[in-house]
Amino acid sequence: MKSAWSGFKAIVVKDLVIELRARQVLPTMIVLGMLIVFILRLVSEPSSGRVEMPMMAAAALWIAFLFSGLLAQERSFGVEQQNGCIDGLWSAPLDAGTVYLAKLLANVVILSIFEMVIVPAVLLSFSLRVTARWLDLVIVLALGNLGISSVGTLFSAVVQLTRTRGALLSIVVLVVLMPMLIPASFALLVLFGAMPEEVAGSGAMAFVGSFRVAQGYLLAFDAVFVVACWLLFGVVVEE
Amino acid sequence: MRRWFMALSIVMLILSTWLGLTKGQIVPIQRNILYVHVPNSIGALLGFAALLLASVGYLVTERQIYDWIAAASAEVGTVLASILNATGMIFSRAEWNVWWTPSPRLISSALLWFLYVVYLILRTSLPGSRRRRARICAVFGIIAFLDVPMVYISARFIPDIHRPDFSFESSWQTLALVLGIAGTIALAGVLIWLRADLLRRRFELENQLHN
Amino acid sequence: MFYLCLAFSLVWICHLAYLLAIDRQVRQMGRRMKARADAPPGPGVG
Repeated sequence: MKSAWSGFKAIVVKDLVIELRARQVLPTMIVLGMLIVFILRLVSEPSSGRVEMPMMAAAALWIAFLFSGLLAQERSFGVEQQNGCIDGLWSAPLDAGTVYLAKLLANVVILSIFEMVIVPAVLLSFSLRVTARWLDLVIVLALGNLGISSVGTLFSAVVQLTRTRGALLSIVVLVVLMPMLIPASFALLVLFGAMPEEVAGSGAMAFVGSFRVAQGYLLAFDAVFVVACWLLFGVVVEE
Repeated sequence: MRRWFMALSIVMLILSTWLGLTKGQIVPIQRNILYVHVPNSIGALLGFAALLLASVGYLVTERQIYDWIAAASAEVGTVLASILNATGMIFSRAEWNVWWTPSPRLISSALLWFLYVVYLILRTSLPGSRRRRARICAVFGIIAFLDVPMVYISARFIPDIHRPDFSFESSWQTLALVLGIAGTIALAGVLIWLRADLLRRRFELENQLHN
Repeated sequence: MFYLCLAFSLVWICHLAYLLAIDRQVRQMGRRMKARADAPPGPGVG
Protein backbone atom coordinates (compact mmCIF):
# COMPACT_ATOMS: atom_id res chain seq x y z
CA MET A 1 0.00 0.00 0.00
CA LYS A 2 2.75 2.38 1.02
CA SER A 3 4.85 1.58 -2.03
CA ALA A 4 1.85 1.97 -4.32
CA TRP A 5 1.28 5.43 -2.87
CA SER A 6 4.91 6.48 -3.25
CA GLY A 7 5.00 5.12 -6.80
CA PHE A 8 1.80 6.99 -7.61
CA LYS A 9 3.30 10.19 -6.21
CA ALA A 10 6.55 9.66 -8.08
CA ILE A 11 4.82 9.33 -11.46
CA VAL A 12 2.64 12.38 -10.91
CA VAL A 13 5.56 14.51 -9.76
CA LYS A 14 7.75 13.25 -12.60
CA ASP A 15 5.15 14.14 -15.24
CA LEU A 16 4.48 17.57 -13.81
CA VAL A 17 8.15 18.39 -13.37
CA ILE A 18 8.88 17.34 -16.95
CA GLU A 19 6.06 19.56 -18.13
CA LEU A 20 7.11 22.56 -16.06
CA ARG A 21 10.82 22.30 -16.89
CA ALA A 22 10.63 21.46 -20.57
CA ARG A 23 7.27 23.16 -21.28
CA GLN A 24 6.52 20.60 -23.92
CA VAL A 25 2.80 20.89 -24.35
CA LEU A 26 1.22 23.58 -22.18
CA PRO A 27 2.20 26.54 -24.38
CA THR A 28 0.90 24.71 -27.46
CA MET A 29 -2.33 23.86 -25.68
CA ILE A 30 -2.88 27.42 -24.55
CA VAL A 31 -2.19 28.89 -27.97
CA LEU A 32 -4.44 26.35 -29.67
CA GLY A 33 -7.20 27.05 -27.17
CA MET A 34 -6.90 30.80 -27.63
CA LEU A 35 -6.93 30.41 -31.40
CA ILE A 36 -10.15 28.40 -31.19
CA VAL A 37 -11.73 31.02 -28.94
CA PHE A 38 -10.49 33.78 -31.22
CA ILE A 39 -11.91 32.18 -34.35
CA LEU A 40 -15.31 31.56 -32.77
CA ARG A 41 -15.33 35.12 -31.47
CA LEU A 42 -14.62 36.40 -34.97
CA VAL A 43 -17.56 34.45 -36.33
CA SER A 44 -20.02 35.71 -33.71
CA GLU A 45 -20.29 39.29 -34.83
CA PRO A 46 -23.18 40.93 -32.96
CA SER A 47 -23.91 43.48 -35.67
CA SER A 48 -24.84 40.73 -38.10
CA GLY A 49 -28.16 40.16 -36.40
CA ARG A 50 -29.16 37.54 -33.89
CA VAL A 51 -26.08 35.89 -32.51
CA GLU A 52 -26.24 34.14 -29.19
CA MET A 53 -22.95 35.10 -27.58
CA PRO A 54 -23.37 32.73 -24.62
CA MET A 55 -23.99 29.83 -27.01
CA MET A 56 -20.84 30.56 -28.96
CA ALA A 57 -18.93 30.93 -25.70
CA ALA A 58 -20.07 27.52 -24.47
CA ALA A 59 -19.12 25.97 -27.79
CA ALA A 60 -15.74 27.70 -27.75
CA LEU A 61 -15.00 26.53 -24.23
CA TRP A 62 -15.79 22.85 -24.81
CA ILE A 63 -14.09 22.69 -28.19
CA ALA A 64 -10.98 24.30 -26.75
CA PHE A 65 -10.97 21.85 -23.81
CA LEU A 66 -11.47 18.81 -25.99
CA PHE A 67 -8.79 19.58 -28.54
CA SER A 68 -6.20 21.00 -26.17
CA GLY A 69 -6.90 18.13 -23.81
CA LEU A 70 -6.15 15.72 -26.66
CA LEU A 71 -2.72 17.31 -27.03
CA ALA A 72 -1.96 16.76 -23.36
CA GLN A 73 -3.25 13.20 -23.38
CA GLU A 74 -1.33 12.20 -26.46
CA ARG A 75 1.80 13.56 -24.82
CA SER A 76 1.04 11.66 -21.63
CA PHE A 77 2.31 8.33 -22.94
CA GLY A 78 4.11 9.79 -25.93
CA VAL A 79 6.75 11.20 -23.60
CA GLU A 80 7.45 7.66 -22.36
CA GLN A 81 8.31 6.33 -25.80
CA GLN A 82 11.72 8.00 -25.98
CA ASN A 83 14.71 6.09 -24.60
CA GLY A 84 12.48 3.17 -23.67
CA CYS A 85 11.05 4.95 -20.64
CA ILE A 86 7.87 2.94 -21.08
CA ASP A 87 9.73 -0.26 -20.19
CA GLY A 88 10.95 1.37 -16.99
CA LEU A 89 7.39 2.37 -16.20
CA TRP A 90 6.04 -1.16 -16.65
CA SER A 91 8.90 -2.76 -14.74
CA ALA A 92 8.15 -0.59 -11.70
CA PRO A 93 6.56 -2.54 -8.86
CA LEU A 94 3.15 -1.00 -9.45
CA ASP A 95 -0.02 -2.42 -10.87
CA ALA A 96 -1.32 -0.92 -14.08
CA GLY A 97 -4.31 0.69 -12.37
CA THR A 98 -2.02 2.78 -10.17
CA VAL A 99 -0.03 3.92 -13.19
CA TYR A 100 -3.30 4.86 -14.86
CA LEU A 101 -4.50 6.90 -11.89
CA ALA A 102 -1.17 8.72 -11.63
CA LYS A 103 -1.17 9.58 -15.33
CA LEU A 104 -4.80 10.67 -15.03
CA LEU A 105 -4.01 13.00 -12.14
CA ALA A 106 -1.10 14.55 -14.03
CA ASN A 107 -3.35 15.13 -17.05
CA VAL A 108 -6.09 16.64 -14.89
CA VAL A 109 -3.60 19.05 -13.33
CA ILE A 110 -2.22 20.11 -16.73
CA LEU A 111 -5.71 20.61 -18.13
CA SER A 112 -6.65 22.61 -15.02
CA ILE A 113 -3.73 24.96 -15.56
CA PHE A 114 -4.94 25.35 -19.14
CA GLU A 115 -8.47 26.09 -17.91
CA MET A 116 -7.19 28.83 -15.61
CA VAL A 117 -5.92 30.68 -18.66
CA ILE A 118 -8.63 29.90 -21.17
CA VAL A 119 -11.75 30.46 -19.03
CA PRO A 120 -10.95 34.11 -18.29
CA ALA A 121 -10.10 34.56 -21.95
CA VAL A 122 -13.53 33.27 -22.97
CA LEU A 123 -15.37 35.27 -20.32
CA LEU A 124 -13.59 38.46 -21.31
CA SER A 125 -13.79 38.12 -25.07
CA PHE A 126 -17.45 37.12 -25.08
CA SER A 127 -18.20 39.68 -22.32
CA LEU A 128 -19.99 37.27 -20.00
CA ARG A 129 -20.62 37.69 -16.28
CA VAL A 130 -20.71 34.65 -14.06
CA THR A 131 -19.53 36.18 -10.80
CA ALA A 132 -22.69 35.14 -8.97
CA ARG A 133 -22.24 31.47 -9.80
CA TRP A 134 -18.49 31.05 -10.03
CA LEU A 135 -18.55 28.00 -7.78
CA ASP A 136 -21.02 26.19 -10.05
CA LEU A 137 -18.83 27.06 -13.03
CA VAL A 138 -15.76 25.64 -11.31
CA ILE A 139 -17.61 22.43 -10.45
CA VAL A 140 -18.88 21.94 -14.01
CA LEU A 141 -15.44 22.60 -15.49
CA ALA A 142 -13.77 20.25 -13.02
CA LEU A 143 -16.23 17.47 -13.79
CA GLY A 144 -15.75 17.98 -17.52
CA ASN A 145 -11.99 18.00 -17.05
CA LEU A 146 -12.05 14.67 -15.23
CA GLY A 147 -14.27 13.04 -17.85
CA ILE A 148 -12.18 14.24 -20.78
CA SER A 149 -8.93 13.20 -19.14
CA SER A 150 -10.11 9.77 -18.01
CA VAL A 151 -10.97 8.47 -21.47
CA GLY A 152 -8.03 10.26 -23.09
CA THR A 153 -5.47 8.81 -20.71
CA LEU A 154 -6.63 5.24 -21.32
CA PHE A 155 -6.51 5.52 -25.09
CA SER A 156 -3.25 7.49 -25.06
CA ALA A 157 -1.53 4.27 -24.06
CA VAL A 158 -3.33 2.43 -26.87
CA VAL A 159 -2.49 4.65 -29.80
CA GLN A 160 1.21 5.19 -29.16
CA LEU A 161 2.58 2.67 -31.63
CA THR A 162 0.14 3.42 -34.44
CA ARG A 163 1.04 5.47 -37.47
CA THR A 164 -1.68 8.07 -36.92
CA ARG A 165 -1.38 8.63 -33.17
CA GLY A 166 -3.10 11.94 -32.62
CA ALA A 167 -5.73 11.50 -35.32
CA LEU A 168 -6.75 8.08 -34.04
CA LEU A 169 -6.79 9.31 -30.44
CA SER A 170 -9.00 12.24 -31.37
CA ILE A 171 -11.74 10.19 -33.02
CA VAL A 172 -11.71 7.50 -30.35
CA VAL A 173 -11.89 9.98 -27.48
CA LEU A 174 -14.41 12.31 -29.09
CA VAL A 175 -16.85 9.55 -29.97
CA VAL A 176 -16.77 8.13 -26.46
CA LEU A 177 -17.20 11.57 -24.90
CA MET A 178 -20.04 12.64 -27.21
CA PRO A 179 -22.90 11.74 -24.83
CA MET A 180 -21.17 13.50 -21.95
CA LEU A 181 -21.06 16.72 -23.90
CA ILE A 182 -24.85 17.04 -23.89
CA PRO A 183 -25.18 17.68 -20.12
CA ALA A 184 -21.85 19.52 -20.21
CA SER A 185 -23.07 22.04 -22.75
CA PHE A 186 -26.43 22.26 -20.97
CA ALA A 187 -24.68 23.28 -17.76
CA LEU A 188 -22.55 25.92 -19.46
CA LEU A 189 -25.52 27.33 -21.35
CA VAL A 190 -27.40 27.76 -18.07
CA LEU A 191 -24.41 29.36 -16.38
CA PHE A 192 -23.85 31.77 -19.25
CA GLY A 193 -27.52 32.74 -19.22
CA ALA A 194 -28.45 31.35 -22.62
CA MET A 195 -30.99 28.95 -21.19
CA PRO A 196 -33.38 28.85 -18.24
CA GLU A 197 -32.57 26.70 -15.23
CA GLU A 198 -35.07 24.07 -16.33
CA VAL A 199 -36.07 23.17 -19.85
CA ALA A 200 -39.13 21.24 -20.93
CA GLY A 201 -40.00 20.03 -24.39
CA SER A 202 -38.64 17.41 -26.72
CA GLY A 203 -35.08 18.32 -27.69
CA ALA A 204 -31.83 16.92 -26.44
CA MET A 205 -31.53 19.73 -23.91
CA ALA A 206 -34.98 19.02 -22.52
CA PHE A 207 -33.80 15.46 -22.18
CA VAL A 208 -31.25 16.68 -19.64
CA GLY A 209 -33.93 18.74 -17.91
CA SER A 210 -32.38 20.97 -15.27
CA PHE A 211 -29.02 22.27 -14.14
CA ARG A 212 -28.80 19.96 -11.13
CA VAL A 213 -29.61 16.95 -13.29
CA ALA A 214 -26.91 18.01 -15.74
CA GLN A 215 -24.39 18.07 -12.91
CA GLY A 216 -25.61 14.67 -11.82
CA TYR A 217 -25.13 13.28 -15.33
CA LEU A 218 -21.61 14.69 -15.46
CA LEU A 219 -20.81 13.10 -12.13
CA ALA A 220 -22.25 9.76 -13.27
CA PHE A 221 -20.26 9.82 -16.53
CA ASP A 222 -17.07 10.68 -14.64
CA ALA A 223 -17.57 7.89 -12.12
CA VAL A 224 -18.35 5.29 -14.78
CA PHE A 225 -15.50 6.31 -17.08
CA VAL A 226 -12.86 6.54 -14.35
CA VAL A 227 -13.77 3.20 -12.83
CA ALA A 228 -14.08 1.42 -16.19
CA CYS A 229 -10.81 2.84 -17.52
CA TRP A 230 -9.02 2.06 -14.26
CA LEU A 231 -10.18 -1.55 -14.41
CA LEU A 232 -9.48 -2.04 -18.12
CA PHE A 233 -6.13 -0.26 -18.29
CA GLY A 234 -4.21 -3.38 -17.31
CA VAL A 235 -5.81 -5.32 -20.15
CA VAL A 236 -4.85 -2.68 -22.68
CA VAL A 237 -1.17 -2.34 -21.83
CA GLU A 238 -0.39 -6.00 -21.27
CA GLU A 239 1.87 -7.22 -24.06
CA MET B 1 -27.71 -25.06 -43.56
CA ARG B 2 -26.34 -21.58 -43.91
CA ARG B 3 -27.74 -21.31 -47.39
CA TRP B 4 -31.20 -22.30 -46.13
CA PHE B 5 -31.01 -19.73 -43.39
CA MET B 6 -30.05 -17.04 -45.85
CA ALA B 7 -32.88 -17.98 -48.20
CA LEU B 8 -35.30 -18.01 -45.28
CA SER B 9 -34.31 -14.52 -44.20
CA ILE B 10 -34.63 -13.18 -47.73
CA VAL B 11 -38.05 -14.76 -48.10
CA MET B 12 -39.18 -13.23 -44.82
CA LEU B 13 -37.93 -9.81 -45.91
CA ILE B 14 -39.68 -10.06 -49.27
CA LEU B 15 -42.91 -11.16 -47.58
CA SER B 16 -42.63 -8.31 -45.13
CA THR B 17 -42.17 -5.74 -47.88
CA TRP B 18 -44.98 -7.22 -49.95
CA LEU B 19 -47.43 -7.43 -47.03
CA GLY B 20 -46.43 -4.00 -45.80
CA LEU B 21 -47.09 -2.43 -49.16
CA THR B 22 -50.33 -4.24 -49.93
CA LYS B 23 -52.54 -5.65 -47.19
CA GLY B 24 -50.88 -3.96 -44.26
CA GLN B 25 -50.50 -0.53 -45.74
CA ILE B 26 -50.47 2.34 -43.27
CA VAL B 27 -52.54 5.30 -44.25
CA PRO B 28 -50.28 8.29 -44.78
CA ILE B 29 -48.22 6.38 -47.27
CA GLN B 30 -44.77 7.55 -46.21
CA ARG B 31 -45.27 5.92 -42.82
CA ASN B 32 -44.72 2.54 -44.45
CA ILE B 33 -41.01 3.32 -44.16
CA LEU B 34 -41.48 2.03 -40.63
CA TYR B 35 -41.46 -1.52 -42.01
CA VAL B 36 -37.80 -1.19 -42.93
CA HIS B 37 -36.72 1.38 -40.36
CA VAL B 38 -37.73 -0.44 -37.19
CA PRO B 39 -36.23 -3.86 -38.11
CA ASN B 40 -32.93 -2.24 -39.01
CA SER B 41 -32.79 -0.23 -35.81
CA ILE B 42 -33.41 -3.38 -33.76
CA GLY B 43 -30.77 -5.19 -35.80
CA ALA B 44 -28.23 -2.43 -35.25
CA LEU B 45 -28.82 -2.50 -31.49
CA LEU B 46 -28.58 -6.28 -31.36
CA GLY B 47 -25.37 -6.03 -33.36
CA PHE B 48 -23.95 -3.85 -30.64
CA ALA B 49 -25.08 -6.32 -28.01
CA ALA B 50 -23.30 -9.07 -29.97
CA LEU B 51 -20.21 -6.88 -30.14
CA LEU B 52 -20.31 -6.37 -26.37
CA LEU B 53 -20.83 -10.07 -25.63
CA ALA B 54 -18.03 -11.07 -27.97
CA SER B 55 -15.71 -8.46 -26.44
CA VAL B 56 -16.39 -9.66 -22.91
CA GLY B 57 -16.07 -13.23 -24.12
CA TYR B 58 -12.69 -12.50 -25.62
CA LEU B 59 -11.36 -10.80 -22.50
CA VAL B 60 -12.55 -13.67 -20.31
CA THR B 61 -11.52 -16.65 -22.43
CA GLU B 62 -8.90 -15.23 -24.85
CA ARG B 63 -10.33 -17.46 -27.57
CA GLN B 64 -9.94 -16.04 -31.04
CA ILE B 65 -13.35 -16.97 -32.27
CA TYR B 66 -14.77 -14.20 -30.08
CA ASP B 67 -12.53 -11.65 -31.73
CA TRP B 68 -13.74 -12.72 -35.16
CA ILE B 69 -17.35 -12.52 -34.03
CA ALA B 70 -16.74 -9.03 -32.64
CA ALA B 71 -15.20 -7.88 -35.92
CA ALA B 72 -18.01 -9.43 -37.95
CA SER B 73 -20.78 -7.96 -35.83
CA ALA B 74 -19.16 -4.53 -35.98
CA GLU B 75 -19.16 -4.67 -39.77
CA VAL B 76 -22.71 -5.91 -40.06
CA GLY B 77 -23.76 -3.42 -37.39
CA THR B 78 -22.23 -0.60 -39.41
CA VAL B 79 -24.32 -1.53 -42.41
CA LEU B 80 -27.50 -1.78 -40.35
CA ALA B 81 -26.79 1.47 -38.50
CA SER B 82 -26.19 3.25 -41.79
CA ILE B 83 -29.53 2.02 -43.10
CA LEU B 84 -31.16 2.95 -39.80
CA ASN B 85 -29.93 6.53 -40.00
CA ALA B 86 -30.65 6.89 -43.71
CA THR B 87 -34.22 5.61 -43.49
CA GLY B 88 -34.72 7.63 -40.32
CA MET B 89 -33.69 10.78 -42.13
CA ILE B 90 -35.94 10.01 -45.07
CA PHE B 91 -38.86 9.33 -42.74
CA SER B 92 -38.20 12.50 -40.79
CA ARG B 93 -38.13 14.52 -43.98
CA ALA B 94 -41.36 12.98 -45.25
CA GLU B 95 -43.19 13.29 -41.94
CA TRP B 96 -41.88 16.48 -40.33
CA ASN B 97 -40.16 18.17 -43.27
CA VAL B 98 -36.71 18.25 -41.65
CA TRP B 99 -33.85 15.91 -42.42
CA TRP B 100 -32.34 15.92 -38.98
CA THR B 101 -32.90 17.51 -35.61
CA PRO B 102 -31.02 17.03 -32.34
CA SER B 103 -33.58 14.99 -30.48
CA PRO B 104 -32.41 12.28 -28.07
CA ARG B 105 -33.32 9.36 -30.31
CA LEU B 106 -31.71 10.81 -33.39
CA ILE B 107 -28.57 11.72 -31.45
CA SER B 108 -28.30 8.23 -30.06
CA SER B 109 -28.80 6.63 -33.47
CA ALA B 110 -26.08 8.85 -34.90
CA LEU B 111 -23.86 8.00 -31.93
CA LEU B 112 -24.38 4.30 -32.57
CA TRP B 113 -23.17 4.76 -36.14
CA PHE B 114 -20.14 6.77 -35.02
CA LEU B 115 -19.20 4.15 -32.43
CA TYR B 116 -19.33 1.38 -35.03
CA VAL B 117 -17.25 3.34 -37.53
CA VAL B 118 -14.62 4.34 -34.99
CA TYR B 119 -14.44 0.73 -33.85
CA LEU B 120 -13.69 -0.38 -37.40
CA ILE B 121 -11.07 2.34 -37.90
CA LEU B 122 -9.43 1.46 -34.59
CA ARG B 123 -9.39 -2.16 -35.63
CA THR B 124 -7.57 -1.56 -38.89
CA SER B 125 -4.99 0.84 -37.50
CA LEU B 126 -3.58 -0.99 -34.49
CA PRO B 127 -0.11 -2.47 -34.90
CA GLY B 128 1.47 -5.22 -32.85
CA SER B 129 0.45 -8.74 -32.10
CA ARG B 130 -2.94 -10.12 -32.99
CA ARG B 131 -3.73 -10.72 -29.33
CA ARG B 132 -2.94 -7.15 -28.34
CA ARG B 133 -5.15 -5.80 -31.11
CA ALA B 134 -7.99 -8.06 -30.15
CA ARG B 135 -7.69 -7.06 -26.51
CA ILE B 136 -7.68 -3.33 -27.25
CA CYS B 137 -10.67 -3.64 -29.55
CA ALA B 138 -12.52 -5.56 -26.87
CA VAL B 139 -11.79 -2.80 -24.37
CA PHE B 140 -13.06 -0.17 -26.78
CA GLY B 141 -16.17 -2.26 -27.41
CA ILE B 142 -16.92 -2.36 -23.69
CA ILE B 143 -16.22 1.33 -23.06
CA ALA B 144 -18.23 2.30 -26.11
CA PHE B 145 -21.12 0.23 -24.83
CA LEU B 146 -21.12 2.29 -21.62
CA ASP B 147 -22.42 5.15 -23.75
CA VAL B 148 -25.28 3.20 -25.23
CA PRO B 149 -27.45 2.54 -22.16
CA MET B 150 -26.86 6.05 -20.89
CA VAL B 151 -28.35 7.56 -24.00
CA TYR B 152 -30.40 4.90 -25.69
CA ILE B 153 -32.27 3.26 -22.89
CA SER B 154 -32.98 6.44 -20.99
CA ALA B 155 -34.17 8.08 -24.20
CA ARG B 156 -36.97 5.53 -24.30
CA PHE B 157 -38.69 7.07 -21.32
CA ILE B 158 -38.54 10.67 -22.45
CA PRO B 159 -41.19 12.36 -24.57
CA ASP B 160 -39.71 12.91 -27.96
CA ILE B 161 -40.51 14.06 -31.46
CA HIS B 162 -39.75 10.49 -32.39
CA ARG B 163 -42.79 8.28 -31.85
CA PRO B 164 -45.72 9.18 -33.98
CA ASP B 165 -48.98 8.29 -32.28
CA PHE B 166 -49.61 5.18 -34.13
CA SER B 167 -51.16 1.83 -33.47
CA PHE B 168 -51.60 -1.13 -35.69
CA GLU B 169 -55.12 -1.51 -37.02
CA SER B 170 -54.90 -4.91 -38.61
CA SER B 171 -52.95 -8.02 -37.80
CA TRP B 172 -51.50 -7.87 -41.32
CA GLN B 173 -49.54 -4.84 -40.24
CA THR B 174 -48.24 -6.57 -37.14
CA LEU B 175 -47.35 -9.59 -39.24
CA ALA B 176 -45.45 -7.48 -41.76
CA LEU B 177 -43.45 -5.78 -39.04
CA VAL B 178 -42.72 -9.01 -37.19
CA LEU B 179 -41.63 -10.68 -40.43
CA GLY B 180 -39.40 -7.72 -41.14
CA ILE B 181 -37.80 -7.85 -37.73
CA ALA B 182 -37.29 -11.62 -37.86
CA GLY B 183 -35.94 -11.44 -41.39
CA THR B 184 -33.49 -8.67 -40.58
CA ILE B 185 -32.23 -10.43 -37.46
CA ALA B 186 -31.83 -13.68 -39.40
CA LEU B 187 -30.03 -11.90 -42.21
CA ALA B 188 -27.71 -10.13 -39.75
CA GLY B 189 -27.03 -13.42 -38.01
CA VAL B 190 -26.14 -15.14 -41.27
CA LEU B 191 -23.93 -12.25 -42.32
CA ILE B 192 -22.07 -12.24 -38.99
CA TRP B 193 -21.64 -15.98 -39.27
CA LEU B 194 -20.27 -15.76 -42.83
CA ARG B 195 -17.97 -12.89 -42.02
CA ALA B 196 -16.56 -14.51 -38.88
CA ASP B 197 -16.02 -17.71 -40.80
CA LEU B 198 -14.21 -15.79 -43.50
CA LEU B 199 -11.91 -14.17 -40.94
CA ARG B 200 -11.18 -17.56 -39.44
CA ARG B 201 -10.27 -19.06 -42.81
CA ARG B 202 -8.10 -16.10 -43.69
CA PHE B 203 -6.29 -16.56 -40.40
CA GLU B 204 -5.72 -20.25 -41.12
CA LEU B 205 -4.44 -19.46 -44.59
CA GLU B 206 -1.98 -16.93 -43.19
CA ASN B 207 -0.82 -19.44 -40.64
CA GLN B 208 -0.15 -21.96 -43.40
CA LEU B 209 1.87 -19.39 -45.26
CA HIS B 210 4.03 -18.62 -42.28
CA ASN B 211 4.81 -22.26 -41.58
CA MET C 1 -44.58 8.28 -52.23
CA PHE C 2 -41.20 9.43 -53.49
CA TYR C 3 -39.67 9.13 -50.03
CA LEU C 4 -41.25 5.72 -49.55
CA CYS C 5 -39.71 4.40 -52.75
CA LEU C 6 -36.41 5.99 -51.83
CA ALA C 7 -36.32 4.32 -48.41
CA PHE C 8 -37.35 0.87 -49.61
CA SER C 9 -35.02 0.80 -52.56
CA LEU C 10 -32.15 2.04 -50.39
CA VAL C 11 -32.68 -0.71 -47.85
CA TRP C 12 -32.96 -3.46 -50.42
CA ILE C 13 -29.94 -2.27 -52.37
CA CYS C 14 -27.81 -2.03 -49.23
CA HIS C 15 -28.82 -5.47 -47.96
CA LEU C 16 -28.32 -7.19 -51.29
CA ALA C 17 -25.08 -5.41 -52.08
CA TYR C 18 -23.58 -6.38 -48.74
CA LEU C 19 -24.82 -9.94 -49.08
CA LEU C 20 -23.37 -10.27 -52.57
CA ALA C 21 -20.07 -8.73 -51.50
CA ILE C 22 -19.65 -11.21 -48.69
CA ASP C 23 -20.80 -14.08 -50.86
CA ARG C 24 -18.15 -13.21 -53.40
CA GLN C 25 -15.49 -13.08 -50.71
CA VAL C 26 -16.55 -16.49 -49.46
CA ARG C 27 -16.37 -17.96 -52.96
CA GLN C 28 -12.98 -16.43 -53.55
CA MET C 29 -11.71 -17.85 -50.29
CA GLY C 30 -13.08 -21.25 -51.24
CA ARG C 31 -11.23 -21.09 -54.56
CA ARG C 32 -7.99 -20.18 -52.83
CA MET C 33 -8.32 -23.03 -50.36
CA LYS C 34 -9.03 -25.43 -53.19
CA ALA C 35 -6.10 -24.22 -55.28
CA ARG C 36 -3.85 -24.58 -52.26
CA ALA C 37 -5.04 -28.13 -51.68
CA ASP C 38 -4.50 -29.06 -55.34
CA ALA C 39 -1.13 -27.37 -55.76
CA PRO C 40 1.95 -29.55 -55.43
CA PRO C 41 3.94 -28.82 -52.29
CA GLY C 42 7.04 -26.80 -52.90
CA PRO C 43 8.72 -23.50 -52.19
CA GLY C 44 7.12 -20.23 -53.06
CA VAL C 45 3.52 -21.34 -52.97
CA GLY C 46 1.49 -18.34 -51.99
